[in-house]
Parts: sequence; C-alpha cells; structure tokens
Amino acid sequence: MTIHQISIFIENKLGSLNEILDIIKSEKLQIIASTISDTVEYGIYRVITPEPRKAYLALKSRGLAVNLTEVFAVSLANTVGTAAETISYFTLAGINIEYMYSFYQDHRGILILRTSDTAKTLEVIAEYRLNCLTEEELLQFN
Amino acid sequence: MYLHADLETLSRNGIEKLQMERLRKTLNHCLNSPFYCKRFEENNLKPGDIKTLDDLKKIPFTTKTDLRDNYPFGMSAVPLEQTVRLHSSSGTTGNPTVVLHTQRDLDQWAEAVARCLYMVGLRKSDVFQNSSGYGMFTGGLGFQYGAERLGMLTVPAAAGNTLRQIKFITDFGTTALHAIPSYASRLYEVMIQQGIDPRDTRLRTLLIGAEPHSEAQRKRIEETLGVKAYNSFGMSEMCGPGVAFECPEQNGMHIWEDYYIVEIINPDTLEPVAEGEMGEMVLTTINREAMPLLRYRTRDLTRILPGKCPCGRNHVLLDRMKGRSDDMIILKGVNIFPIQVETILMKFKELSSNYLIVLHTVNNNDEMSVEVELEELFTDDYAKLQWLTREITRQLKDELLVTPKVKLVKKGSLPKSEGKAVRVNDLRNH
Repeated sequence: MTIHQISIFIENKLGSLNEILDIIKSEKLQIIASTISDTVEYGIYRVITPEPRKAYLALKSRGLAVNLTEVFAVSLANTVGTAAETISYFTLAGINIEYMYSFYQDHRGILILRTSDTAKTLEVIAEYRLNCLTEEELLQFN
Repeated sequence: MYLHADLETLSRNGIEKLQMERLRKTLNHCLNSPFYCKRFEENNLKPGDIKTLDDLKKIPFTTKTDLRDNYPFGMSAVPLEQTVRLHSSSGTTGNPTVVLHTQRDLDQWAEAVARCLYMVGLRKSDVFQNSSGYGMFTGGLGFQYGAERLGMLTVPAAAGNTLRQIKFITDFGTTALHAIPSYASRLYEVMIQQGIDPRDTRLRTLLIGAEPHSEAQRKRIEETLGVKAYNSFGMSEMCGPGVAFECPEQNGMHIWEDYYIVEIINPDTLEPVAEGEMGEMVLTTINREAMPLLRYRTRDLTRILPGKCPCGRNHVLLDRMKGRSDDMIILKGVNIFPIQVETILMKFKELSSNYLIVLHTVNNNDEMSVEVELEELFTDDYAKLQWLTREITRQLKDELLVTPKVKLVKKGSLPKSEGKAVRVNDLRNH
C-alpha cells in the first residue's frame, strides 16, 4: 500500500542537484516525480523512482546522505474536486499531511503523501477504498 | 602624567635592578608552592642559582598544561586561608585553569589597572563604564577595581544589552568606556539607528582589548565615535587586564616591568629571538604572592618594539598581539579551542567527524559559524533537521559561551580529518 521515496540531503550550491541526477541516470532509473523547496542553506530533495532501493544504495555509496521514506501514492480520478474530497477524509480522521506533491499519469492524478500517522492513514485508505500505487506498479515506468 | 612616577619613569638600569630584587624574592617564595618546589628539586635548582636576570633561562618554562595538571590549588604559594579571590578560565577538555589572589595581589592588580587608566588621561572626575563580562571573566572586576582605585565613578554595565549601554552613556555622562573592539563598532551602529550622534555624548576615551584588531579598525572606532582608543593587553593567568597598555603615543603597549619579566622566544626552538623579532611572549611574575608563575608561556605572539618612548616610560613596548602559537581562537574576548567544538560535535551520531570553524565579520560584528557534515539523513523531516541544528547550537553555546551559527553541509565537502586538517578559517577583517 505504501511506496518508498528517496530523500536526499542537498546543499544550496551550484551543481548539487546535477550530482544527484547524474547518479540516478547512471543507474538507468527514471524519475517519476520529484520535489524540492527553496530553503536557505540546504534542502531535502525527494524523488519517486522505480527500484528506490537501487537508487538509495547508489546514492549512499557515493557519500550522499539519503533516507528511504515510506509515502503513499494515492491515485485519483481526473475530475474537479477529487483532491479536496480525498484530503477531507484525512482531515476528518485527524491525520496531518506533512507534505504532498503530485504528478499526472494515464489520465489520473497521483498524490504523493507523507502523513503524521501511517497506521491511521492505512485505515482511511481501506475505509474509503482509495486506490494506491504499489512499488510493483512503479516498475512499469522504467 | 604618571600615577606611580617613581616606578613608571625608572631608568633601564633602575628597572633591571628592581626586577632582580623582586625575582630573588619571588624565587624564594616559590618554594612554598608544591609545584615549583618539586620542579626546582627535579631540575636540581636552588633560588640562589639565579644571580642575574640572564640566569632566568636556567628555569624551565611553565605552561597552561602545568596549571591544568595542578588544578585547583597545586600552584599556590600561600595557604588557602590567605587567598581572597579565585578566577578561573574555561577549560578545553580537561580541567580549567585557576588563578588565586591574596588581598595584596588584588591591590597590586588594581594599582596596575589604575596606572594604565591614569596614563591615558583618565582622572577622578571621569565616568567609567565597563562593558566587559563580570564574574570569572577578569575584564569585569579587573577594570572595576582599577577604575575605583583611581576614584572614578564606575558603571559595571557588564556585557550585552546595547540599548541599555547607550542609555547609560547618555544618562550618566560616561566619558570612558572599556569594550572589545567589535562591540565598540556595534555600539556606533546602534547609536546611529537610535538617532544619537556619538559626538554629542561625553564619551572621549575608549579602552579596547581582549580581541585581535588592526590599526585600521582602531582608527575607524576613533573616527566614528569621536574618541581616542587605547589598546589594552591582559591575560587571566597574569591577573587579567593591566599587564600592558598603550600610552598617549598610541605606538605599542608598555608592559609593566615592575610586575613582569618579559622574554620573547621562538616557539619551536624555545630559544630567545633576536632583538625586535616576533616570537612567543614568556612572562615571569615578580610582584605576586598567591600564585607566582616562572617563565609562563603565554602562547601570544608579539615582538618588542625598538627605541625609546617619548612618554618618558622605559618599560618596554610590545607590538600588537599577532596571533597565537597554539590553535586557540579569540572571539569577542572569549578563548576558544577547536577541541571544545570537536568534543561537542562528536556526541552527535548524525554528524561525520569533519567540521570547519569559520570566523567572519558581519556588520562590524565578529561571528563564528561551525560547518558540520551530515553523516546520515536520519529523517525526511525538515523540522527534525532544524531541531538537530538548534541542539548542536545550544550545546556549543553552553560549552563556548558564545553562540555560533551551525550549518549542516554535505558529507565529504569539508577537509578530511586525516593529515593536517584545516579546522579554522579566519576571515575576519582585522
């Protein structure tokens, strides 16, 4: 039900992003989605890729500080208001969204979510029969 | 002109005669110190073996390590009940150093500071404000007692709270201020922000020390604040302030040779340097009861300036301190050893063993940042990374007494610890 995202510590310096992207490229891995926000000195670059463990080990062996993080990839119908409705389920259950980003695939919107409570999130997903991508499904991207 | 005319205007011959007399007394007195008693025995030395000032060379050096190893009272040459004050400087990883004083020591210290203040023109009618830290830091009480000895109205403003310092200066009509140079620049900035022209205050004299600074920095302080600024040199092992001070010529600091015998040595060969050359200053106290120190290696690098001072004092002139022969950093008057930083950082398993201390000047203010490598990204949470940064900052502040800016950097981006790692990058403008 969950997938693994790789989170990489990155300094706000020219070329930092390129170093990471080159390593992922050399492992012949696609980047399905990624996000980084503008902090002053450093940031966490978050990447969804097929075979996250392979990417993790490659980055780590090159001396980068990397973390494998459990996140949800909720697949939503491409209609107005779906995201609002879906997130409201979590709100009602008292689950905080720590961060979220999204991408678009085969006419569906995919929300990558990190929540404050993984166990409770799984309950909500089961209750509302939300469609989540699995790591096996990520493999099709490569 | 002179507070102690008889001592200050002694001829070279007169100084050396007095020094020999006081040295002889000091050496005999040292036999009461468990440390020196043992040291004399080990080296088969007797006080009587030192017949001339040149014979001083026969005595081994005393180092900061000796002070630490004999913590807390092993250096003392008087019974503890005769001592009235203790000052201690922060330790690195081992014991701190302790300096003990008898009442006579405190009186003599106050006299030395009063002599310095009188020398730069301060009198009873002046209002003296001291922005040094009080407590264990000797710049507080040292100047306080010296200024009171001169009869000045003395304001123990202590460190920090710039707005309050400025209020004191304006409300109390402060005419003389003791401040570290970077703080003097800070005062100027805040005064301007407050719409106060420093030239409209009664402030005319600044005493600056405890922090390395350049002649350009002094000139800037003098111009912006409309004052005369005089260099002060002190060190906690030698009481504190009042060891050496600039006279109105502002061309070197007179070290009081009725209190200290000065040697300048090559820190590598430990041999005396040629006249006028740079080296490590070694001091022998000759006017002290509780804790005499023989040939103490100060680790401060300086040189003796040639020539005769037009002010009429024959006590030798020291050049500005040019740095240290060890890796000690002086920031805002606080002594910091990189090992202190390292010890704290080692406690964090999230960090690698590499780090870099960067000293820089921001808005006339000296600051320290510590760059540390993140070993593992233990979290995917910004808040936890920020917590880590804050926790490192807090622990460093508790240890160093100054607040550094902690910066997390990528593993492998700092110089490696093997070989000669560069731990300190000093970018300050002085």
